[in-house]
Amino acid sequence: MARLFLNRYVGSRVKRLEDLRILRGEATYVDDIMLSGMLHAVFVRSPYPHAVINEIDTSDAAKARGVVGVYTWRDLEKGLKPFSFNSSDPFYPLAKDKVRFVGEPVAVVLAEDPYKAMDAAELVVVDYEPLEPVSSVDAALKDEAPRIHDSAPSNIGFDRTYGCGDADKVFKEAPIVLENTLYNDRVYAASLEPRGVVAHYDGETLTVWSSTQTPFDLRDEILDKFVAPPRSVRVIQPDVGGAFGAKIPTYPEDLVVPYLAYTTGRPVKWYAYRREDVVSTTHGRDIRATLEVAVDRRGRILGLRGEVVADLGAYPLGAALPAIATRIISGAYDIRAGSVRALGVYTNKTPLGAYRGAGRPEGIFFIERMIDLVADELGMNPAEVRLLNMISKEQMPYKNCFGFEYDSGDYPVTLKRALEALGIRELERWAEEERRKGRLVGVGYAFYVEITSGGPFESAYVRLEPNGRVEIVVGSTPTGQGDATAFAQLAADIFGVELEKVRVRWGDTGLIGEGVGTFGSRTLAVGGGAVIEASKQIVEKAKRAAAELLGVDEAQVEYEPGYYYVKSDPARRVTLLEAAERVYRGESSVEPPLEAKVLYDPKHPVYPFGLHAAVVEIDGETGRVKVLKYLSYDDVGKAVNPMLVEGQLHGGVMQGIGQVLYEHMAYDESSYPLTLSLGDYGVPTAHEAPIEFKIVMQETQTHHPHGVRGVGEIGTIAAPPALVRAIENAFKPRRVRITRTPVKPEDIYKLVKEVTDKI
Amino acid sequence: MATGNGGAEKTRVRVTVNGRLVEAEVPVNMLFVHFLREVADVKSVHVGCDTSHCGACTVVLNGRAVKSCTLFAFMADGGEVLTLEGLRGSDGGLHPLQEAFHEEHALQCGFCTPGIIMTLYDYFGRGGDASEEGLRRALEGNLCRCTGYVNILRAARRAAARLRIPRKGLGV
Ligand code: FES
Ligand code: FES
Repeated sequence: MARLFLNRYVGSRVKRLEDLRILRGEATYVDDIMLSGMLHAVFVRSPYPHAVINEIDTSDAAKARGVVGVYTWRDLEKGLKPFSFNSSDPFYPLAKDKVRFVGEPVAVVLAEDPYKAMDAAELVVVDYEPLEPVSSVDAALKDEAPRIHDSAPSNIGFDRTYGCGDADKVFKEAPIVLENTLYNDRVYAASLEPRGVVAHYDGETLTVWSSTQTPFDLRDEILDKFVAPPRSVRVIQPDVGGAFGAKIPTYPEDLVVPYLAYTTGRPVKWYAYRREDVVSTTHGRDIRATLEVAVDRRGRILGLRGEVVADLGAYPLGAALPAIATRIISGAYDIRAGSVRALGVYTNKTPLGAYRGAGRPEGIFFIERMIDLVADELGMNPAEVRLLNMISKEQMPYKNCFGFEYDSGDYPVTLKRALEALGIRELERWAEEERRKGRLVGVGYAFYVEITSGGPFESAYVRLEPNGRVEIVVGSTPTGQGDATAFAQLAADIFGVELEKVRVRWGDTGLIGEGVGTFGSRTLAVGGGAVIEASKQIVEKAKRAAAELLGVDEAQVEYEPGYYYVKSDPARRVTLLEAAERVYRGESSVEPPLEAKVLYDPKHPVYPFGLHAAVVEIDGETGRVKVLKYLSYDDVGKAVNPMLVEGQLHGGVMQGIGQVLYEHMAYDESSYPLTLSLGDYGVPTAHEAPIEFKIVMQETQTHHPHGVRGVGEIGTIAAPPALVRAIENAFKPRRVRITRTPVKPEDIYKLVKEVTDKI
Repeated sequence: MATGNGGAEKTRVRVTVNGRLVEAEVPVNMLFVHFLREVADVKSVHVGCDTSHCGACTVVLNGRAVKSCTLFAFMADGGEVLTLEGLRGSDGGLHPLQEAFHEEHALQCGFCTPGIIMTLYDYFGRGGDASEEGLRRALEGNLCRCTGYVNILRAARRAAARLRIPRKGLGV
């Protein structure tokens, strides 16, 4: 193939194919699925962070009006297996004899309508014997700490040290060693749509609709966890109202609800109340790092060592997170000696899990804060310190000290270009002047590199119909990002057809048997790769029909998007659709249909990178921070649809701003959650959006076959260190140091006080 | 169907929903949002919280945007409701707000979209201007977790231009 795509749609701001259904009110989210005879499930959840269950009395609840059944683990254990892990006791979909976090499901009521189910759930009497809760990683690591899992030797769920070189020697000999403890507190994904599941068994197939990112996993889990599974299980991902990583796991309700539909023979729906979603859906971040950097007098970093500790909550759903944070912890810098221990520790809190970025926001926050510390301590410009330490282009592909292998990129040039393109120097000068007039304004930036598009394969099925229509089914499972539009752009430009002729479907194990899903910014790079490969196979397949039409040998035929031509005589050509028609009319030796299914595995992840900057103003009276400007410069590789890239940046950055300034999943010192609603939590509103948002994209060559880098998580990774630096900068010439998120108005107010008191 | 607490007293509720009369005997404790979703079958009205914070359930009732989860169904009796399903432009096609949301990529997952559009429809309908401050204030009761609001604000300004709403006015 001479060239893969036309640039008719690819690279353009094509409007989304997903929009019209939604804008007409025709989208179908899980709660919109209504089946006749459907029962409603309400879960009874633990009010204790840590307790033994002595007895559950369901008799009153079972007698309540409209109730069809009340179930505890005893009623399900013959038919359902728990989630099992190496490093912990099993996670029972309904707690068996012990509860380990507030919100853990204990029993479930099935009734004719949710109001009745809710009323009856209040009648379930559980006799708990409270145990001493473990409320922090420090408490959990003490020798005398209560053990959360009886089968585990300690409260440690993950423990591994990463590094390279001789760190101890480097630290012994280094002229300067700087130390800091940094922390990203617990957050909640807060998708606007809570979780929900509907299930229906028709005697042969168990059909499950779940607000999930991983329908294929859920299907496999049902087949695995049901003792006697039905003949066939089909999982459908309906429209999903946001997910952000928290809808990756298969949750207890994802098993219990289908199981009850299977055993009662009636359709069952569960749709989470927000107050139960807040405590039962995995939380994010909650990772602390205690780090030391060894530096020479010029600012060159010689080594990095320390410890990264994640509060895993009650079960190890997020056990990989401390490892990811650690493996990216050298960021964009060439650090030759290091030793960082990654620990995951159990506490009596909601399990930790992936949340947009999943370990990378933490790792990048840690290293970028350390770099700023070096700059401040040595009295250097932060850009200078970064340039001095960056991995050079010549070193690519570069294996970092902690085991990630970066594919490509010119970080120093990108840093310089970004500062230039975003006008950072001018902004800094402006801020300095304004500060002199008494305003508390600051400019800060951070450089990131991150890993995307890992994991296994992704699938795509593509069919080219004789009328030029293209039908695509993907294993990717977007939850609002707009990938169906991007996939359609790719196929339309390979086949040279109108975008309107392409239809993309996803999220249904009944449409395509194998698939993985949308997470880790992999959808376009991996799922898109599958669409491209399947489309190319169709072009190859129809080539013989084109050769027949052209009356030449197949080897003589070349393809350009939309048509085939004779190599030696390019004026002789037939269109792809003419060739396709010949196939479908049965006139060709090529057998119809023109379809291909591909499981595509790009083998290597990709590493986007760039610089983000924020301009903030602090209100000294209240401690409130306003983001005046947000500026980003990202190497995203090929931007198939820049409009969608911008959407991902806007949303991700806002979540990063939220993490820094507003959002906090708070617990008290006895492990009771204090955040129980969206109001308590602090999802940013339109007031909190940056006044100005500037985006610059750069495209350089990647190792990815189609040049895509993955953009979904950039915002949450880059925004926190940039924003925190901007806040620090607003205090200049005084030096303040922010080491944790969130920094709430009260914290900032205290800083303002401290600084002004000093004057 | 969430037809309400079996023990609760029932009452007759008549509401005109997008020009169609919907009449039913429902429990007195039934929330209006459930009446709309399950009795009137308008599914664009979403439930995103149980504390009136998210705005996903916003509809226009008797000419004012309300969070339909904050009312009982009987409180809307005799009323007239407009939801996203009933929103149309003057030519019967998409309303300028719907068009602008499409053009500015102001929706991702779409869960917040119906509530946000109805809020803006009400705001402009009451003479709200297209100033930055005015728009942000109008939207403060509607959360969006996907878009970071940047494109929602752009779409609001674009729709305002098409609806000949002044950029700066008296505010609402
Ligand atoms: S459902 Fe959240 S405000 Fe009504
Ligand atoms: S588009 Fe997803 S919540 Fe707004």
